[in-house]
Amino acid sequence: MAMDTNAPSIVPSQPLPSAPDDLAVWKTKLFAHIGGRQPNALQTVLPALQAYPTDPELLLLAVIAGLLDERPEQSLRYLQRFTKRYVPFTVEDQLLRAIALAQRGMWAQAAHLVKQHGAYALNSAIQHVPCGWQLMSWFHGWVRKIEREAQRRHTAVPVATKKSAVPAATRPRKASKTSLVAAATVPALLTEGPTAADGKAVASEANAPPLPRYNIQLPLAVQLPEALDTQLALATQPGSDTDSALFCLRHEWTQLRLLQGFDELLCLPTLHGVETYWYQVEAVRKVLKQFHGRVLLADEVGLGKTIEAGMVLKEYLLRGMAEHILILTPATLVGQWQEEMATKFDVLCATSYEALLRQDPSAFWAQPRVIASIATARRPEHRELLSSQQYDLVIVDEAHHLKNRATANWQLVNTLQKRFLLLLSATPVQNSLVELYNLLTLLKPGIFKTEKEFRASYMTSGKSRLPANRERMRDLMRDVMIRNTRSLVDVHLPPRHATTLRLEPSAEEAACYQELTRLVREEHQHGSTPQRLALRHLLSAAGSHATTAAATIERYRTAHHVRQGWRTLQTRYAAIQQTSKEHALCDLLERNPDEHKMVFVHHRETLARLAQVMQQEGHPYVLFEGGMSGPEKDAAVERFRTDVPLLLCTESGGEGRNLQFCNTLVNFDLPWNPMTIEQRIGRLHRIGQRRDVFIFNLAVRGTLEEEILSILDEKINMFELVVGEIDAILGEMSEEQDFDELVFTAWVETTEAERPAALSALGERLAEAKGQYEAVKALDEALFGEEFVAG
Amino acid sequence: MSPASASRYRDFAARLLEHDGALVEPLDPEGLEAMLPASVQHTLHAPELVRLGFGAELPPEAQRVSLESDWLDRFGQLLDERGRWLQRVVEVPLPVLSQPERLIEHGLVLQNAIYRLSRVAPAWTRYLILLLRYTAISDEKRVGMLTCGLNLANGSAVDPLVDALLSAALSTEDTAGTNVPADAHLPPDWPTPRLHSAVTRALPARVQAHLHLFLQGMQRRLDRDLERVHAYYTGLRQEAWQRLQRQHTDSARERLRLEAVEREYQAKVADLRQKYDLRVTTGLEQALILTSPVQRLELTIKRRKGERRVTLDWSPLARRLEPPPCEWSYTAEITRVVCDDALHLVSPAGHAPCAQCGKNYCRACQPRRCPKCGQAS
Repeated sequence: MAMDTNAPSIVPSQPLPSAPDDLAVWKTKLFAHIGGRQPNALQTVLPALQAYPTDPELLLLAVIAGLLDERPEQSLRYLQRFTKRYVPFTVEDQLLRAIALAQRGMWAQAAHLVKQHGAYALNSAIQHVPCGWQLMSWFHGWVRKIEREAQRRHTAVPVATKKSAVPAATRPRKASKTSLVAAATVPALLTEGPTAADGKAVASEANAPPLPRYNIQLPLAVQLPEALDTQLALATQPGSDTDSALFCLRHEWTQLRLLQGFDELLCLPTLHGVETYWYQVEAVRKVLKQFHGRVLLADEVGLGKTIEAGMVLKEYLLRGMAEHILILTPATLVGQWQEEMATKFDVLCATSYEALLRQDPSAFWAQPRVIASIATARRPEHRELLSSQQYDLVIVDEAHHLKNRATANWQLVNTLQKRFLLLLSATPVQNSLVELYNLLTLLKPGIFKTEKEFRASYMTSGKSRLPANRERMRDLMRDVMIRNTRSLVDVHLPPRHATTLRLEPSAEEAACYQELTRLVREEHQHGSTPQRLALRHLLSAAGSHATTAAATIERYRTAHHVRQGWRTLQTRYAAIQQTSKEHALCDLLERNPDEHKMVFVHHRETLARLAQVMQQEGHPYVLFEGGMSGPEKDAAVERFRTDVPLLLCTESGGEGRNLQFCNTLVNFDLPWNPMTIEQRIGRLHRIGQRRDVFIFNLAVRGTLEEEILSILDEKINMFELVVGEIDAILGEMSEEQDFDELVFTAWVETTEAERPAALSALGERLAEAKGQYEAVKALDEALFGEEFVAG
Repeated sequence: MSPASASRYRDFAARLLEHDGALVEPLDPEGLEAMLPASVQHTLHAPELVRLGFGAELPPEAQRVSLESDWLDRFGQLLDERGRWLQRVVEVPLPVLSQPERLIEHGLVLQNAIYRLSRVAPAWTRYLILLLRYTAISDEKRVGMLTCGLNLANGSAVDPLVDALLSAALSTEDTAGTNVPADAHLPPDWPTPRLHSAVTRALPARVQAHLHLFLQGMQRRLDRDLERVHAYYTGLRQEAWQRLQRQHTDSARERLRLEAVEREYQAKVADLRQKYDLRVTTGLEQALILTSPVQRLELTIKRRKGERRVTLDWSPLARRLEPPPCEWSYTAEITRVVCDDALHLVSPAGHAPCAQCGKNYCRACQPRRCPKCGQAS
C-alpha cells in the first residue's frame, strides 16, 4: 500500500463535528476512521488534538495515526507528550515506540524494546491502546516483523551489492519514503491473510496463513487497602491499644476466616426450603474447584439440576466472584426459574416478561441478574445488546436446544462474553454425537478439535449415535461434564397413582361457566395485555369454585368498565349454594377418614369456602397458606402430623416441610401449568416417601380444567411420570409461550366448534414432545452409562 | 470442618466470650455453654444462655457453629475494631555479638561497593509489623494473609524476622511497667505519606510471592487454553482454506468463512482474557509496633569517592541480623547496589537499566522516571 505522505490533505470521508463540546462524538468518528485504516489519519486527528491538546486518548490516537501514515517522527513527538503527562497501563507506549523506531529504520533499538519487554507483553498491551482491537493484526505484524528483523540481523551475512535481492527493509539505511512504504506494507500482507486482490498468490499456498498465537501473561495489579493512610495513622498514633489478648483474638479470627475454602460451601446455610443431597453438594464442589465454572450438568431428570445450578450461582455471589448473571431458558420455564431463584436462593432476577425489555432493551439487559427466554434473547435486536455485555456467569437450561451450531441459539451462546458457563440438560445427545460435540465446544472450544476431526476420531461411520472411541471420548468429557444417575445416587421413589373424578355440574353451574366463557371471549377480543391476565384469572377462578368466581368477577368489574352482563353473572355465581366438587370432596374424605390427606386449592376464596364446608360437615382440618408466619406454618404441620388428618392448603402448602407421612393428595382445583401441579405432587412424592402416592383430581365437565387434565393424563400420563420429567417434556416444546398461555389461547381464541381441535392439537404437541424426550433418554443412558457421577 | 479446626474455633469462641464477660463452660462433644452479658447477647443475637456446637456431632440443644455459618461474622461484630492495633515494649537481655563481621558477611552483599564495620553498640528500635489480607479473584479465588515488617530506624524490611517478633510480642506478659530508657534514641515516627509510599512499594512483590503457585497454575491453564483454542481455530481455518483451494466457484463464501474464523478466534481469546482476568485486593487487618533493644551495627560504605554510614540491627528476639535496607522497594533480599549520587542502598532491580535508553539509574534518586530519556520508572 503506497502512500504519499506529502500529498495535500484530503477532507475526511465523514464530516466531523466542529463544536468543541462534541468530544465524545469526535472520538467515535476518529476511532472509526483510524480503526478502519482510512487514509490521512493524522490529518484527521490533528484538529481534535488542537482543541484538546492534553486528552490522553487523542494523544494516543495521534501516535497511532502517525504510525499508520508512516510519520514516525510525529508519532514519537505525540508519544513523548503523552508519557510526560500520563502513566501507561502497561507497556503500550513501548509498543508504539518500538513501531515508530522500526519505521524510522532504527531496527536495533526497536528490537531492544521488544526484547526488553517481551513480545508477549507488548502484544497484550494492545488492548490498552485506542482502536487496539481493530488494529490488532497490524500491531502483531509489526512486532513479528521487528523480531524477525532482529533475528535476521543476528544471523544474516551482509550482502555487499547495491541492488540486492534482500528487501529494502532489511538493509540498514536512512529513513526514506520508499523504504518506509515497504516496511509498512510487509506486515499487512503477512497478518491480514488472503484478500481478493491476492487470490492468485494465495491459491498457490498449501497452508492457510497461520493465526496469530497469543501469549497472555497474567498481569498482577494489586489494589492497595482502602483508607490506608487513615489506618496507618491510627496504627502509629501514641497510646494505641496495649491489650495483646484482643490482638491475639483478632489474629485468630482472621486465620479462621481463611479456613473457608471451596470444600465447605458458603451457600448451604442460606438456602430456604431446599433439602440438598450429597451428590448435589459434590457436584457443586466439583464445578467450583475442578471445572472452574464451565460444565455440562447432565443429571437425569428429577435429581435437581436447577438446585445445583442455583447453588453454584449463589456460591459465586457469596464469594464475590460473580455479579453480572444471565440465565437462558425455554419460555415455559422462565417463571419457574424466577420463583426458584427468589424463594430458594434469595436471588432476585428480572425476567424477559417485564415491560422494561420492550421499553428500554439496553437498560434491561444491563441489569445484574436476568432470566430470559432463549427465543427472546436470540432475536437480532437483543442479540447485539447481549453480545456487548460482559457476563460473569451464564446458565442455559435445557441446553440441548443448542445442539446445532448452525442455529441462532448456539450462535447466541457462543458469542456471549462470559467467564463461567453452566449448561443444563438431562438429554444432551438426541440424534447424533455431533450434538454433544457442539455443546462441549461451547464450554471448551477445541476440546474435540474440529468437527471433521471429531467425526473421524469419535464417530462410527454411518452410525451417528455410536461412539467409535468411547473411552477416549469419555476421558475428555470428564473434564467438562457431570451426570448423576438415579441408580448411583440411590434415589428411589415409590410409584404414584392418579384418579380423575369428572363431575357433572349442576345446570346453573354449567350455564354460568358457559356465560363466563362467552363474556371472557368478548372481552379478550378487545382487551389489552393486563386485561388478558385478569381474564385468565377469571376463568381459573370459575374452574375452582363458584364463590371464588363471584369474588373475582366483582374485582374485575371494579377495575374495568364492563357491561351489565357481568353483574348478572356475579349474582348468579354468588347464589350457587353447593357445588359438585364439594360433594365429591366430602365423599373422598369419608373414605379412610383417619388417613392423612392434603387438599390443594389455587385460590384463597376457595380455601376459605372449603374451611366453612369442612366445619359444617364436621371434618376437622388445619389451614396452611402463604400468608401465615413461619411458626404458624410449623404449628399447622405439627397438628396435621399428630392430631388432624386433613390439611387444606394453597400452592405454598407444606413448602419446605417434611410431609412424607402423608401419601394422599387431592387437587380440588387445577392450576393450568403442569409444573405447578408437579410441585404439588412433589410435596409428598419425594425422597423419604415410603408409600405409594395417591392423587385425586376433581374436574367439572365442560370446563377448561377438564380439558387440561385430559391432555396431561391421557396424552402424556403425567401423573405417573418420574418426578421432574414434565419439566423435561415441556422443555422439548419449542413454544415461545407458557403452557397456561397456550391453553388459554386455545380456549378463548376459538369458537366452540373449533375448540376441541385446538386443544387436541396442543395435546398432540405435548405427546410428541414426550415421545422425543423418551427416545433421547434411552440414547443418553446408553451413551453415558454411569461414568460421570459427581461423587 | 476438621476436628482440629473445630477445636481451634471453639477455643477462640471461648476466649472471646470470656474476655467480654461471659461465663463459659465446655460442653461435650466439641461445644460450649455460655451465659452472656446483655451487650454480648445484643451483638451476637443470642439469648442469655446459649449452647454452641463446633464439631460434627452437636451437644444437645446446641446451635451449629461452622466456618460457613454466620457465627464467624457475629464474632467479628463482637470484636468490632478492637485488637487491630497494638503497641508493645519487649525488653530482653541483649547478648554481646561475638563475630559481628561474620554476621554481616552472611547478611549483606554489596555488588559495587565496599563496607567497613565501624561500631557495634546496644540501641533501641521500633518495628512496624503489618498484617494484610489479600484476595485474588479470577475463575478461582485465593485468600491469604501476609506480613510485612519495617525497622523504623533504618527502613529495613524485616520479613524474615516477623514471625519471631510477633511471637515474642504476643507471648510475653503485658509489660505496661516497662519503660524505654530515656537515652534510647528511638527512631522518629515516619510521617504517614512515607509509610504509605513504603507499603505501596513493598506490597506487590510480597503478594506476588504468596500467589506464586496460584499464578503459575493459572498461567499454565491459560496457556493450555490458548493453545487449545489456537489449534482448534487453526484447524477450522485450514479446512476452510483447503475448501477454498479446491473450489473454483463460491470462493467468496470460503473467504468470508476464513474471516469469520479469525474473528471468532479473536473473540475466544478475549473470552479467555476475561476468564483469567485477575483482581487482587488487599486489606490492612492488624498492625503492631514493637519496641525492643537491638545490637546496632554501624557500617561505613564506600563507593568511589563517597562514603556513607548505615546501620543494621541484630534482633535478640529473632536472634538474627535484619536484611539490609532497600531504599526503593523495601525488599528483604541481601544483595544491594550502591548508587553513585546519594549512595542509596537499593536492590539490583532498583538500579536496573532504563527499558528505553538502557541507562542504569537509581530508583531511589529518581523514583518517577529515567533522568536521561524521561521514561517512566
